[in-house]
Amino acid sequence: MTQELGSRERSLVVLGACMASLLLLFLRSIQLQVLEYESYGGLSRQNRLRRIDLAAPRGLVITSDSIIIAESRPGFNLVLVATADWGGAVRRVASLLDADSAALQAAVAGQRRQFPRDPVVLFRDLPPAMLARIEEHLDQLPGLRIETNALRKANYGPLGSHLLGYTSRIGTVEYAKLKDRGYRLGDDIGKGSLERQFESVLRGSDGYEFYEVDARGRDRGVPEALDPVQPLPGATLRLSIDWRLQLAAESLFSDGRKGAAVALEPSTGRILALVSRPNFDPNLFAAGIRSEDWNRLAADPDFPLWDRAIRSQYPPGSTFKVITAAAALEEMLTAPEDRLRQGCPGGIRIGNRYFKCWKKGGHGSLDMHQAIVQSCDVYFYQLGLQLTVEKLALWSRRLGLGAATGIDLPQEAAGLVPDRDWYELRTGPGSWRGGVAANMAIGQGELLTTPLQLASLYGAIGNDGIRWRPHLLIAVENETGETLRKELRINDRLPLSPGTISVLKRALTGVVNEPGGTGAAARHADVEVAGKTGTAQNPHGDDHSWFACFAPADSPRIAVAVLVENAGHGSAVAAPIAGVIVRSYLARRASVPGPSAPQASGQ
Amino acid sequence: MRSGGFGVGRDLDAGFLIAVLLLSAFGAVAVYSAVQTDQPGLEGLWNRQMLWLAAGLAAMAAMAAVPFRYWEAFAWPIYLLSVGLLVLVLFLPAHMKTHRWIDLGFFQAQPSELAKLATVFLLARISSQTRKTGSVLLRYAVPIAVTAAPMALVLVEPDLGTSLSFPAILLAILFWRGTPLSDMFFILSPVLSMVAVFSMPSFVLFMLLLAGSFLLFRTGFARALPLFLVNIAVGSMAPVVWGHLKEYQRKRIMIFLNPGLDPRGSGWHVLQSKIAVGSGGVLGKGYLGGSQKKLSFLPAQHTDFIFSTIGEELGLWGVSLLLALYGWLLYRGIAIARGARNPFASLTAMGIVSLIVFNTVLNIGMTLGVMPVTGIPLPFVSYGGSAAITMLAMAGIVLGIGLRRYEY
Repeated sequence: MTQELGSRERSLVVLGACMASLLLLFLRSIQLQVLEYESYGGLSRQNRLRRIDLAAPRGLVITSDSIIIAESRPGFNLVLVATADWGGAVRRVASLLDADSAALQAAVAGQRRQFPRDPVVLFRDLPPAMLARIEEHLDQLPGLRIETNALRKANYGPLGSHLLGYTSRIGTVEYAKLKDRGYRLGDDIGKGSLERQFESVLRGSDGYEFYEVDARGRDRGVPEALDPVQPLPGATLRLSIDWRLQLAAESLFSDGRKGAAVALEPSTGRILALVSRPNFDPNLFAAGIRSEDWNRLAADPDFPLWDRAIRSQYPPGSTFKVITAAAALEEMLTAPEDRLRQGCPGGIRIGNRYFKCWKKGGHGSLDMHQAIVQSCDVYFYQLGLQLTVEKLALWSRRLGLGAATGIDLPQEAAGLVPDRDWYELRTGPGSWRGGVAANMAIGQGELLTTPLQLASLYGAIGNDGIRWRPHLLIAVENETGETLRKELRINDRLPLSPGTISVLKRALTGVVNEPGGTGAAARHADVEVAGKTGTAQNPHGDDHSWFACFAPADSPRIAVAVLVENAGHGSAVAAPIAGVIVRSYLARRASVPGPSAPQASGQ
Repeated sequence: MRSGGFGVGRDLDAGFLIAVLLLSAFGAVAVYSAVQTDQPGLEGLWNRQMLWLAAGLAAMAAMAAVPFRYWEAFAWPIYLLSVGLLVLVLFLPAHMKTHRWIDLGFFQAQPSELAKLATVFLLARISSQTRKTGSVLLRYAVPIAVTAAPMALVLVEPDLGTSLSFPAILLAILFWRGTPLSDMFFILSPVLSMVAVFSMPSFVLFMLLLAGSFLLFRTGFARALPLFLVNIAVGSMAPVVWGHLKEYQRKRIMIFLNPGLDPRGSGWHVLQSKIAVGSGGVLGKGYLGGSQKKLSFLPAQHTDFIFSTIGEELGLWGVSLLLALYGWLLYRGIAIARGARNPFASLTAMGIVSLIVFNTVLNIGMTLGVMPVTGIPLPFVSYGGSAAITMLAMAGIVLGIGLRRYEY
């Protein structure tokens, strides 16, 4: 170590470093204050520099078959930037556009009270004729500017609306919370479904440029010294949705039916179609929804804004019988080939109440396979009584009911699995005894599920017990196609033995394909469909119709749950819809086994 | 030998004291103007600042009176206390989304200020004791660990700017105690690897440079190999860690390095600050006459961005005067550090000088748009109680070391 410095050299080095730093700061000051004085002085004089934001286009939403279902379009807004003496200009523009001048002034004053310095958006998304009229008279409207804004455009209107969600402008209440995150008053923000879930990546970030104004507030152009900051467009969402399947599924509800359909790929958890009807047009919201449109949507008794696929909760009806059967097998209360003590004469007396089977004439004596195929209620009443509410609740939870599936959408409902404590608390001590368990075993009563939960459960049964978390996102990509976020694939295993699963799979195949099965309407000529019908008793009106299935039965590539409100028996309405969805998907995908379905070669 | 206490006379470094007083006066004048804006409610801050200055000057006198051997004796307890406070502050409720302050009711204390001083004391103590020992562990590993602990705690507050003061202290003290330049380079090399690895050719080049310097400095194999491996490891880990950061974390770091990426946040502040300084020109717009300032384009023009007000109103001559004062202050500070016979005292003075220069350059550089935007105030000038009192107290310690320069 010969290069050690002496104390004198060290002092000189430190002093030199300090002085050099200060000298650099001095030189930088000379650069700003002497060499670039003209430009900065000009910008500062009379505070003539204004900043305008360059709106970032919102990201695209693209389906797996490369259909762009949502994009961004330019919209022109009339914006008040002046912070004082704006009354005259606002009055003039109101008369120019035949708007209510007093209301407009009140709106401006209202916003300014809360946010005195922020620009006020007077009119959003001006139609071309109005735009032309304003541009003609812009000279007489000091302090007003026309700004370009990026507005959302849902290319298929109401189709897929519950999947996509909508964007809407930020109001003053939200703005107070959001302004630190770069939002402006009047910006659009994702309000539901994917638009809300992926708001942070879809949004992009706005740029800005500067312009100078003269003493009358008129634009004098962009000063050369200051480079504009270009906006960064939002990222693209690539979805697992098969848009043609989505359209096919939507069309099956087009006769005014209410309900939901969920289709997913059991081997990955990818959602293929997600339908909720009635639906709404997200484009109504894009430029700020008109109050008459809003009132119509909000007052509609059919709740078109409510996503039935993931937020509505219904009793599962007989689709629940797979859970009862699985619980009985796992608890070893019965074997698949056993016939229960009592055959089905069309009903059974429990306590002092008579519980009917759906089939008046009765099914006679059945084993588990036939009980599922023919959906015999009496068979399952007896299993329910043996299992009790406690065990039924336990196995419902183990098989995923009562908990959100974790789909990448906001506000997913968890459903409801009532257990002993729940009944004690809600309906009184001991109320869970006797008939409640029998009713629960056939999916009636207080237990509730979402269509998504049933699709996920049936997919998992078809997939030999491996349950993939349902998701829509395949990738988030930036402008250059670089992947920013990848698909999240997570799985767990249903706690069922392989024997139990194969009993269930064979029985569900029988439901659709064997004589006497309730799901014949979903039958497919080339592929074995396995599924279960359900009819959810509805105290408020006609029963809801369920069908949940997967196909092909031995190694499924699609699982579907369909719910149609107030449509009666599952075998009559929901099963044919599910059948069409399955056929529509497999017909197109049969010839091209994609990488996402490696085991798709069929039988 | 002189005893401790106030030996006023030729042992007091009048140059340093005058520079501190002039800078504080400059700050008081600048803050008075900076709070006169079109947004009422700030004017009262000047009276408070006078209070802080008075408290700070008292602290300076008190610190100057304390013999430095006490700082040396209590270096470990002070350090542990300050680290404890840094841990404590993380568990206190957040204030403006960060955990930087302890609210004492009348006063918001920043434990990181104490931690900087405590780190100076402890590094000076360790370095003065281990100066001649041969063990690499004692000479480098312990100081690095002592620096890393408070740095990491401040980093998670989060306060990136302040956390960078700690390595600045370490480098200054290591250099001042006579660390060979080759070792300085080797200590810095992992950081350089981390930066170099973002382009493969530059990383290969840097590795060759490192290997070459081993030959040049005749570094023993037993030291060269681990060091080389550390560099390779850091170099290969950096992209992995970078890849695993959340998008917003990466964004925050990018914005730190280049405020222009955040046009609505720090980029806007830097631009407004440049406009304020640039429009001041040579002569300035006149005291109290800054229009950018008056319209309060800058949210922190009396604290972190005080220099922009000075530049706008007093122009290049005011800037020159301020920079000259800092130059004089640093010159006298270095002279005191060099003149002190006691190694601990000398290293402490240098540690404090390094803090002053680091904060000054980072703050003014930020205002002029050539350094990242950090929440670091301008020493002796910015508004703020915690900063004013700590800086003046540190100046008092340097003065005290000057008073006792002949003591061993």
